[in-house]
Amino acid sequence: MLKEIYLMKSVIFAIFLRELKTRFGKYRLGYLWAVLEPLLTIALFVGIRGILTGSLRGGADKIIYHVDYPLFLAAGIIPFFMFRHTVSQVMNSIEANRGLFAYQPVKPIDAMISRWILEGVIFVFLWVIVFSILHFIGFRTEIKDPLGLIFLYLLFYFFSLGIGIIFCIVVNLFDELRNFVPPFMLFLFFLSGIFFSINMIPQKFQIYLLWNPILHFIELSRERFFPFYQADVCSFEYIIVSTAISLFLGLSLYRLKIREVLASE
Amino acid sequence: MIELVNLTKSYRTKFGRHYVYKNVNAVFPEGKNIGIIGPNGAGKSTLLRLIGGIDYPDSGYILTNKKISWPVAFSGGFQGSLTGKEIVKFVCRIYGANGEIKEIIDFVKNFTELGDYFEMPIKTYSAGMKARLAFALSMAFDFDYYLIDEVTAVGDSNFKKKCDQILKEKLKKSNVIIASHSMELVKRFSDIIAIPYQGNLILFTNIGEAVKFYEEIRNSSAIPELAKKQ
Repeated sequence: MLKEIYLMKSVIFAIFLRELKTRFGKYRLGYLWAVLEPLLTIALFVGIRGILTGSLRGGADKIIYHVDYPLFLAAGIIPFFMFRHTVSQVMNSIEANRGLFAYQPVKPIDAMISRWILEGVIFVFLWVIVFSILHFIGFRTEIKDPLGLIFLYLLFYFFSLGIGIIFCIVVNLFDELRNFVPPFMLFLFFLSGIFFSINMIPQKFQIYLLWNPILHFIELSRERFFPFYQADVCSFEYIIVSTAISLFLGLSLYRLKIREVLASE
Repeated sequence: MIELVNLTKSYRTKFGRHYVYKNVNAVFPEGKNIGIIGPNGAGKSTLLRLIGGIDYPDSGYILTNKKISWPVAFSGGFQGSLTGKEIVKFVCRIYGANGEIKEIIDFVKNFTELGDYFEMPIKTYSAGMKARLAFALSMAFDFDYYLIDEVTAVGDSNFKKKCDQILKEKLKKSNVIIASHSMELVKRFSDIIAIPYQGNLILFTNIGEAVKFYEEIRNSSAIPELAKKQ
């Protein structure tokens, strides 16, 4: 048992190094783009809002609780990008590594976990870089509850892994569904409270939006982030249950269907 | 020993399911070299892949406690942007051979005669160089069984001689399972010949009988639907 765990660790590490080299080695801009993508998205939405309201700061805006809009956005976009990238990377991990499964020690789950770890590392770097830049420009805040924030991010990180595995198995069984993933992600991008707060939404619509666990993750992480932010309608229990279900479903599907996925037809 | 238990494997075709193996039970005894022979599409490679754990049967299973190689000279896991050395390191890591990493690298470097190319990206390699790397890499590890799918002509005759030599060396301690449609090759290496035929796998310990049987089924051409697969 210990030997297996040790071997799995070295397989994951080997694939991790390989992913690192191939993912960013292809073009030098690889690292740069990872940072630029969220920054440009933030700039775009700040710009749109600036044009609409005539102000780049949301300071007077009570709805977002004295949080500068760029900070508010970054706190939504960076975790969401982590989710989106994790899901798509884990989802494609079998296709991208099919050649490696000829080596018996390499199992699909190793490829999934390597990619998941890499996305986690990217997330941490990105988070630090983006908030440093914002700090430097003058959008500053203290973090209300750093441990709580880290815990929420971790939950979200595990939630993303579960969804990634589910998507991976499902699109490998039903290839047609692959095309629905990008629009689905776009749909989620607009409905997960990234550039709005749930408090801005009229109550009669809130109940529909609150089905989406990602919105809970993002709003609750803002609550732990910004001193005056509130997201009373979001539920911590809901995201714990969502994470558990996501992982349970992902791992069960993997266990039941992975042979079918790998077998030639 | 490798045991096939109730092994069934089928493929989807336009005309419905085609069964390459249907409830096959067979035992490859300890210490014997196995040759799998058959025309294209008969299921030689499929069997090799099943034994190697790359492909999975519809039902049934393969029982073994032996260390089985990946298909010798397989280069499907070579990513173009990695160098030959990086690939060798990668395979060392996944087989937990971190202690021997240096010896393995030296062995592959010497055997392939790649020179400076060894530290250049695979995408700059010619097909022959890639094949040499793949072959050397499989030989750098110790397995109980080496899976060989149709020994392809690798490089010049000098390199071929080297391949034959090392294979003979390996055969002292290990065994091979060879899939091929060349009876000559299979005869040279195997103690047991396995012929996939109409969903079964027929084993011969007598090479002469195997040759006779193979001639018969080849001439009868009674298996046209088999050729359509793959």
